[in-house]
Amino acid sequence: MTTEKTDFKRLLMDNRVIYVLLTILIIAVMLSPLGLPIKTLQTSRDVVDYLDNLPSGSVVAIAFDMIPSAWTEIGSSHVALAKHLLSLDVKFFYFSVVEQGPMVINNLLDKVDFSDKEYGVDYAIFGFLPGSETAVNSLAQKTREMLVADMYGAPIDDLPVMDGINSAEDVDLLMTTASTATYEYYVPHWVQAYGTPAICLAGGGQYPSILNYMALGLYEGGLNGQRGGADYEFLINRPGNAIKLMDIQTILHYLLIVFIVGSNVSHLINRSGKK
Amino acid sequence: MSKSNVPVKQLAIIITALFGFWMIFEYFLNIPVMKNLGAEFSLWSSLLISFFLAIGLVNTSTYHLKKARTSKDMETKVLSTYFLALLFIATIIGLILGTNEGPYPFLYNSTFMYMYAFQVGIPGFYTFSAALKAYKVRNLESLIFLVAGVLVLLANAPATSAMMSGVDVIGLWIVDIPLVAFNRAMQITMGVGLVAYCIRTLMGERTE
Repeated sequence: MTTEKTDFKRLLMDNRVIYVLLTILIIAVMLSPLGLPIKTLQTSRDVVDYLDNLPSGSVVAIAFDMIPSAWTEIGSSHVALAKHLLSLDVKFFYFSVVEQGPMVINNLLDKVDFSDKEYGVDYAIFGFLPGSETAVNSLAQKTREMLVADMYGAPIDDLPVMDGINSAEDVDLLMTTASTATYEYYVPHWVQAYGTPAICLAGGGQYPSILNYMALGLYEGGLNGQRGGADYEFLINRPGNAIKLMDIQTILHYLLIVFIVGSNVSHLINRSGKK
Repeated sequence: MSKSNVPVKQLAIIITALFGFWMIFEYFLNIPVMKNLGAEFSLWSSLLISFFLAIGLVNTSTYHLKKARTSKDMETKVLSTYFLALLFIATIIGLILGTNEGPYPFLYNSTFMYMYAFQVGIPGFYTFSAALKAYKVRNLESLIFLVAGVLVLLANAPATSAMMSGVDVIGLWIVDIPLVAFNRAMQITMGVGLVAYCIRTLMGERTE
């Protein structure tokens, strides 16, 4: 009997049992969403408010410094951002200092309908700019020399959306992506050097750094990974994938707490039992 | 033919130091001439890095070609050949047919994107089981760690503040105040270390 009990306890704490349980739970909640409520973060509300208050005709530069693995976490934020920008009377352009950005942006183009705006007049997409931090610096100082042509080969002078954009000073808002360390490069070269306001779409791991920059007034706001994306979708009233995944996030958080507390209680009972 | 008096390595260090310190000073000093030249140097560096990418391609190809031809281990030969085949097929498709439409984005999105996402998603399971081991109470410090961790997990769960108001207050405070403070301390420490490392590099000191 003691052997059966020990075997059962060992089975329960086997990692593979935990992985199977997690997999079943994730699939079950994905197939049948629970519709749990969410409360938006203040930082997410700050982002939406800032964009809503942009003057008409403002120019927004979006640093799409995205690697494929970050798409699952920050992609929903970018989709919501694109939808929001398309509903405002602003102009925007994308670029990337990460070599995989131009490939990942195809995912954004598949998910968002840009047909209400005219390419080249209301928005433009530029490709990869080599040089990492030096590219960020060059882009801030000599924008037109860096963005020679867009992703499709059209010269910058043929794109009315880029009229009058010669340096970071001419950009009204910069949106950065914290999927790699590049979001930190924009702070000294754009924000501090030219006073360009910036907002960051961050992954969960980089969010504490963004809070740091926000506390110093260097970033106007930031989105916290998938939760930030869900907040954004909710605040602009365009629900998407991120809101659907919040049920899974909530359940997994609570499950982890239950496992942690349960394993510690079991450990304590074992220790007092041995005494 | 006489040899140069200045060794090549010393010349490289002098050039690096010259450009490096110029870029540092142009950032802090608002002198138009320095700023304009600094902007030009930044543009040049973007060009240089493009060359480095091409050099990387050549070096990688040379290395794997050598492995494929001369390695005695069959597995290494096969893997190197496979790598070279994929590299050149992707490069040729991208150069000839373009990277915005057609087979190149299809290949990228249907293989690489999902593999990358899988690679990053799988550790999530390990993180879960590792957290169970990490949050074991053995002493007072680990108990504080456990309590703080549980409070932050509660605050991070999106439904907590919506379903149970007030429960997430302490967790959010932990994220907003102590975590930001520690983050700031780490960034300052890393920044100071990086400045020291860069100055040593620019002065030509060995950094290994």
